[in-house]
This record gives sequence, structure tokens and C-alpha cells, in this order.
Amino acid sequence: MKNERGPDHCQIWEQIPWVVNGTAVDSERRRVETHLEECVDCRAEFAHQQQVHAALQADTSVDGDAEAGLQRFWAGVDSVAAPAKPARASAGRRFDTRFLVGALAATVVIEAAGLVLFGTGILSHDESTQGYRTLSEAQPAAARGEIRVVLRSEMRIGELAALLDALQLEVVAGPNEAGAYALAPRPASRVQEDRLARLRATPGVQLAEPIAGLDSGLDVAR
Amino acid sequence: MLKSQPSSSHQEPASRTSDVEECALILQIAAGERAALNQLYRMYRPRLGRFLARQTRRQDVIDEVINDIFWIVWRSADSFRRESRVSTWLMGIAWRSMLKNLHSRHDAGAGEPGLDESMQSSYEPFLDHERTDWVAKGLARLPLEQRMTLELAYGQGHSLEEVAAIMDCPVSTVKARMFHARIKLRNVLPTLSTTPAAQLSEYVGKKGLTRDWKEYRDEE
Repeated sequence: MKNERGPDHCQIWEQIPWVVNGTAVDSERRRVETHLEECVDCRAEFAHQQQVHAALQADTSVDGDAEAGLQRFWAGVDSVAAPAKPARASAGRRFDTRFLVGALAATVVIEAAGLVLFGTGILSHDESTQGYRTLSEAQPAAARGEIRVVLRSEMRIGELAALLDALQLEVVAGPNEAGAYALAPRPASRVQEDRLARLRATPGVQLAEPIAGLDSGLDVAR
Repeated sequence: MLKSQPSSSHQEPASRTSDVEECALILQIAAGERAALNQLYRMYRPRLGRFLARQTRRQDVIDEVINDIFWIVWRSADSFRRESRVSTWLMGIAWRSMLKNLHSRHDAGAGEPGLDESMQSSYEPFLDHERTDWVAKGLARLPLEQRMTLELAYGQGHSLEEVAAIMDCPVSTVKARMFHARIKLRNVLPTLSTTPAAQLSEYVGKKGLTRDWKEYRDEE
């Protein structure tokens, strides 16, 4: 058994924590394992770090009431004079619409799952008592999309959020195979502006058209 | 022979969701969905509380900083770029919020007891968990940056690169902080030591070490 020290030894010593916490890449992990077989000091250090790691993992005692914290949070948000909305789009903030497609798809799946759970009574938690509208809360105005849009790849999420906010619209379904989303007015929306015209005038919107009748091609997840 | 397999307990603490699902939540938050923020809040509160508890044991301060964190999330969700995991982005906000709170409390002359004092007294009841107790006491004696580096790596399970992103510093700085944290912890954890601290100090200063190690000494 060797007990050599040198640059390689130091690099291994440096790498030990990331092998212990499982985040080192495989090649580094194998390199450390090989070194441990022949270095008594690094074996001791590895064992020591495993104990430190275990101690930090075990120490999870945290108090606090999440629901009470949330109530305080929203009370703080609502008390702020500025519009209690997320930040609008700003120059340089870019959100890949390829991610948007996937994320919105995931959103619809999550929403569908939530609706199923509500429908079967599995979930009893109802945030409507707090005055919040949830994804799975019944929304008559959004029961069916009224406008179909297709977004250009360069459309930023911030731009989309700001646009939907300005027009008081929300995504109620999509994307379908063609990448189209169904939009519907938010409940109690008072926007008088011609939403369709505004959408069509937006550079990031490739297509905007009314959804006629029931054949929208975009099934709302409900 | 020691096994270098990661601890079986290693996982995304307090988070069982995938990054894709968390990204979907961020998108919904960017669109103003309060329910999405509620969901993210519930998922991350235990994790954030634990992270912040490494800096203070005052629950009111922890609650305040958690709300600061989610205020930033609520206001800037649309700035999230998928260059990192949501957890990395969020922990970066947590780190900056923690520093900001710490500085503001310091500027205001807040009368919070020293971290060492409060944490040691807080951990004394853990007589059946001697190792955890010793490590907690050892952590309390570390400078903030070194302590939080250990917490992010061991407590939260982040990679070297993720810790650098969270703390907004070069990878080399994380390595240096981890280096010093390990040395100092070993010096204050006699029951865990399997080699004398002096032996470590000896080979840290041994001739022929890499330049990086000398830089660590310089930074110290």
C-alpha cells in the first residue's frame, strides 16, 4: 500500500467532498476511488467527510408554519402599492420558447391532474377561501379558449406574460401538435381593447385567430 | 475498503419534483399565478428554512428572509433562464437575501446574540446525536461563507459548479472555502478525527503541493 503525496494527491483531496455528496462526475469519482485504494490519508479524510456529510443531512430540525408564512407573504404583496404582479418583460431578459412549449405542456398536465383529484374529492385543500384563483378552480370564462395563437420562437416569456396581463388573457390549453395555444379572457376582465388586433400586432405572435364553435382543436384540460 | 458511493440519503432535500415541473411552476408564477407560487413555497420552505438556520436560529428572521426570497421570485420569475436548475436559481436568491438581511441587521445594530452562542445553546439538547451536535458546533465557528459552502454541498446536495453559481463566485473560491472549512472543522471536531489535525497541517504545508493549495493559504 502506497502513501504517496503530490499534485495528484492534492487534487483528489480537493475532490473528496463532491464524491461524498454524489455530485462528482463519474470520471472524477472513479479517479478518487482508485486513489483511495492506495492512500491511507485520503481514506481517512473520505471517512471523515462522510461523517460530516451524514451529520449535516441528519440535522433537519426547522420550525415554522408554511401556511402562516404564506398568508403573511400574500398580505405583504397585497399591501404594496405597486401592482402586485411579477416583473414585466425587460430588454435582455430572454426565455426560450422551446422551454415555454414544454413547460406549458407540463402545466396543462399538472392542471389536468389537479382537476382529476378535485373531481374525485382526493384533494380537499381549497385556496379560494383566501381569495386566490387556483389553476384547478372552476373558471367559467376560461372553460373554452376564445383565441388561438401560435408564438414565434423569439417570443420571450416576459413579453408573453406582459401581453397576456395587459389584455387580461390566460392560457387555457395547448400547445397542440401545431404548437398553438388557446387563450381566454380572465374572469372579471374589463379590457375593452381589441385583443385579436393587439395580438396580431405583436411581433412575437405568428398567428392569432378566433376559435369558432367547439372545434378549437385545443382541448381544454377539464 | 471505503466505498465512495454517495450517501443513500443524498437527494434533493425537500424537493421531490423534477426540474421540468419546477420550471413549469416558474412559468406560471411569471404569468401571475399565485397558486404556483404557493406550491413552490411549500416545496422549498423546509429547505430554505434549514439553509437560513445555518446563519440564525431566530425563527422570525428566518420567516422574514423566506418572504423576501419569494417576493423576489414573484417579481422576477420572468428573468429566470434555464441556464441552471430552478433549485440553483432559488438558492442563489436565498444566499443574496441572507447576506442583505445580515447586513441590514448589522447596520441597524440588531441585538441578536452571536451565532456561536445561539447555535451552541440551541444544539445542546441533542445528546443522542453527538456527531450532529459536534458538527453543528464546529460549523458555528466557521466564517459564514465557509459554513454555507458546506451546507450547500452537504446539507443541500449541490455540486461544486452549482455552489459557485449560487454564491456568485468563481469555482476556485468555492474550492478554497471548502478547503478551509474542512481543515477548521477537523480542528474542532476531535471525536470525528481519524488523523491528527497536525498531520493535515503538515501535508498542507509540505513541499511540492500544487499552486492551488498555496492560493488557498493566501486567501485565508
